[in-house]
Amino acid sequence: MQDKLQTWVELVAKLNALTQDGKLKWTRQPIPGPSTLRDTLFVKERFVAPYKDKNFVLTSSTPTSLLSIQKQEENKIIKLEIADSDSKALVEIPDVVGIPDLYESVRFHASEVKQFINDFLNEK
Amino acid sequence: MTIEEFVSKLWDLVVAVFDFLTSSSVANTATWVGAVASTLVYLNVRTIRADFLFAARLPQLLDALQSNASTLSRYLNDFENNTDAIQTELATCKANLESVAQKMHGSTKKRIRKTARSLISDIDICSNLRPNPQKEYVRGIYTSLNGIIQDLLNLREDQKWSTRDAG
Repeated sequence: MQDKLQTWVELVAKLNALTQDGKLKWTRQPIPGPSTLRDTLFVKERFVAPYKDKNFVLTSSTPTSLLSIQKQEENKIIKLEIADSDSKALVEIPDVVGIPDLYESVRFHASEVKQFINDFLNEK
Repeated sequence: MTIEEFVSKLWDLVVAVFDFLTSSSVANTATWVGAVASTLVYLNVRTIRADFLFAARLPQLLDALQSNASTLSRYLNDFENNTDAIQTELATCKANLESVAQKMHGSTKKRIRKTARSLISDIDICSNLRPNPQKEYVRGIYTSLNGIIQDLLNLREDQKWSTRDAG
C-alpha cells in the first residue's frame, strides 16, 4: 500500500516538473455539466493537460463565503484525475503529497504570470 | 525429638540457607540478574520517552517539511531568479530532516530514518556542486522529500489508530 502511494507521489512530482519546464501545457477549462445549487457554494477551477490519447485533469473547489467556513484556503479540495479524450474520468489519483504544489505550478504557468512579469520589467 | 533438638536443627537450617544466599556464586548471579533487569527497564523507559517525544513533535516536523517542499516547488517555477533562496531553503530543510532522523527509533521507522539520512547527504552534495544549485538535483531532492512526508503522514495515521486501540 505504502509503495503504491509512493508511486503516486513520484507521478505527481513528475507532473510538477514537466509543468515547471513547460513540457506539459495546461489550459483552464469550464466545469462541464449543468450548474447546480452546490456550484454557488464552491468556487471551482479546472485545468486540463493532454498527454498521448488521455488527459490529466486538475480540479479545485474552494468554499465561498456563503458557507462561512474560516480559513477557506485550507478547506480547498484539489483533485487530480486521468480522463479520456471526452474528459470522462478514468482514474482518480489518491490525495497524496505534492498535489497542492502541482496546482500552484499549474496556475502559475497557465496564467503566464512569469511572462507578464518579464514583459513588465522589460518595458521601456 | 525434644524441643531443644528441634530448635537446634531449625537453627542449623536457617544458618545453611543464610550461608547459601550469601555464598559468592548466588550473590554474583543475583547481581547479574539485577543488572540485566535494570538495563531492560532503562531501555524500555528510553524507548517510551523517545516514542512520546516523537509523537509530540511529529505534527510540527511535518508542517515544517511540507513548508520546505512547497517553497522549493514554488522556487522551481522560476529557478533562475531563486537560486539563492533555494540554497537557504535547502539548509532549513536539512536541519528539519536531521531532527526527523534523530527521532526515528525502532524497526518500523528504520526506512524513514534511512531515507532522511540519504536525503541529508544529497543536500550536502547539492550544496557542493558548481554551479550551485542545479535544477535537476533540487528537483530530485523535492521528490524524495515528498516521499518522506508521505511516509510520515502514513505513520501519523498508524499512530492515531494505535492510540485508539490503547485508549
